[in-house]
Amino acid sequence: MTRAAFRRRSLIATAAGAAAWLAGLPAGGSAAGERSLRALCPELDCPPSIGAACLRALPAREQSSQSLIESIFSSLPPEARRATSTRTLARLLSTQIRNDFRDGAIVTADGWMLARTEARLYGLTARIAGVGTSAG
Amino acid sequence: MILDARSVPPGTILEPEVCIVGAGAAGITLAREFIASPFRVVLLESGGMNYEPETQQLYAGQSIGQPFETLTTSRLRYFGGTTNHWGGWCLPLEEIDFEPRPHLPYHGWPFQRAYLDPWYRRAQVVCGLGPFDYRPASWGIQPGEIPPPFDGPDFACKILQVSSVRFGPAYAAELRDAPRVSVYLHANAFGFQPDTSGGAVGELPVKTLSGNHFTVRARIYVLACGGIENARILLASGPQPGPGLGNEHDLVGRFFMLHLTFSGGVIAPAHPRARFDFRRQGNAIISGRKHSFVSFVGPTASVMHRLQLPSMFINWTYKLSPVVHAVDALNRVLEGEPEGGHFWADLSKVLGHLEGVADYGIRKLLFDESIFVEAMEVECASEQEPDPQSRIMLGPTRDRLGMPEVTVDWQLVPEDKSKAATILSLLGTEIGRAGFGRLRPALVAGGPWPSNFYGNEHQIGTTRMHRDPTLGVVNENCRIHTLANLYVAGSSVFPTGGANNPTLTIVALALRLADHIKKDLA
Repeated sequence: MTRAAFRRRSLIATAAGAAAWLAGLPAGGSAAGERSLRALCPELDCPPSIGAACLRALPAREQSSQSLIESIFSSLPPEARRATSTRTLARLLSTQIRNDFRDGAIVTADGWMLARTEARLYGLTARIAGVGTSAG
Repeated sequence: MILDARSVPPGTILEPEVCIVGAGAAGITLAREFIASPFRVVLLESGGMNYEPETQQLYAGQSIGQPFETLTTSRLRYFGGTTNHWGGWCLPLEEIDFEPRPHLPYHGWPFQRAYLDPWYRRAQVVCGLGPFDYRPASWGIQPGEIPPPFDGPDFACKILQVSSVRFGPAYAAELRDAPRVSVYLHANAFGFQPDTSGGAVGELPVKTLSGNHFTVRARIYVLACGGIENARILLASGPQPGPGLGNEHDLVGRFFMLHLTFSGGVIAPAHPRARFDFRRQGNAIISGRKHSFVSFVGPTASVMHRLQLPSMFINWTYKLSPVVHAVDALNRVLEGEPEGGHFWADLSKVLGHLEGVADYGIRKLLFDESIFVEAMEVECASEQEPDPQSRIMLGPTRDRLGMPEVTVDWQLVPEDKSKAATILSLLGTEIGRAGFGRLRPALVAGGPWPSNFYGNEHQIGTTRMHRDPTLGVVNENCRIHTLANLYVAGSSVFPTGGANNPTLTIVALALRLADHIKKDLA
């Protein structure tokens, strides 16, 4: 399998898999919502290319890890910040992604129509993985 | 009987009750309806019983507008017409396709869909289809199998039936054996000539490529040569040079529409091993007979009204994939599946030999379980807005018979693209909201048409139907407004095209016209 083919397959699978992933994350996790979120992102196995595409599509104020985390939590109910269960956080994220689509909060990244929260997640994943110059 | 016009004694005058020009789906349907009647019918067909290059070349012309390169390839000029190479897809137009639409000019038929249903039912038989029932549940797709968002309110699962009838071979024997129906092959209508009053057709000169000529003087004439040729013949009729016949309001040839066909993009399914049976090609046994169908999706009338959208036919093919490591690993994490195992290794080996886009049903048959669908490649056919600037005209060159060739000036309006993009955007939003997957649309607002965009072979609208002669060439009975004995059959009379394949509607209208003419003659 070529790198391009792998990225394409992973991109499609990842772009498609967010909803399923978010519904199926295992229980357990860290005490704070932010730690949970940082721990969940690598599980997406998001190719760097789509994470980078999401970062390009997001506004300038949502480029650093911390700003992305804040943006994500700002769209979630307050209990998300206190989520000790990754499954709970995943459910909240899943609901917000559906709401984003319902409300037209859509980001187009590399041509894919993604929910804004979803794009922020992929962007955060890319930052955590060290993609771009302002990893945080 | 079936005769060859090249053998008719020159100068012969034929005097049937009915003269039908064109032996395609409409013309053959009309002729068959008169078999049991006391009326004599002449059916003129330009070609023979098989393809002949020199006859086919009579379709040649030029294109000056949007690219339209299929004048001599999209249509077939021999007995049976374009049904000699059609795909057989049949379904009625939808209710909304007949309705006037606020803010959408030129929409509205002179009657509602329900009025045409009795003829649609008869058309099902002519086209060799199953019952007049296009509900998915009747074809084995139960409501519970249709996932959101295709269970409404903005998108719905729809059905078309597949006909295997080639009108020529299917009905030649019947017409040959009909004592009062005479089919003349190699007979080319060379423009209708008005009578002395100017309010009716007086006669129709007929020519052959061999140089023969004769005349038809009928009580009733029906022009049934297709969306482009109907306009051409009318424009070339009457005193020349001149505007043609039925063209007092400069409408003949205008409102030329095609179905806009293009890639809609790619859907990545959220659950790649879900059942996608609601979108497939298949067969159903109904009343002991096997009937073929295709299920597809499209916007509902509700959203079309709400957002002033055109009709669109949305289909997709399934791209299968070998195991994707990332998703497979993720699934193991989520579901706690044992790692590895012979099943995945075996499946990946078999799938590795299956290349390209494949129909989901074939794979399901092979493996008898859900198959990993990597993606769905979306294909769209969209309704074109009726636009008087899109038109068929007579060109500067003439064919071998001396009749002017056509000039096609196919035009689009900006809304054709913008509204199609809106539907795709809505699709992307809805499949995301419903958790069905993600769309990468190939057409976006403000962007160009996808590179594979083209206007397909459904040629519509050039002698449109309207009660008002300033808005239509034919009236609600498909009669030319200003000519008492000339009718038009085929998709050229459609005021709007919808997105659905036109043949079933063509046949239904032909059946209705035959009933009307029989009453008129009686």
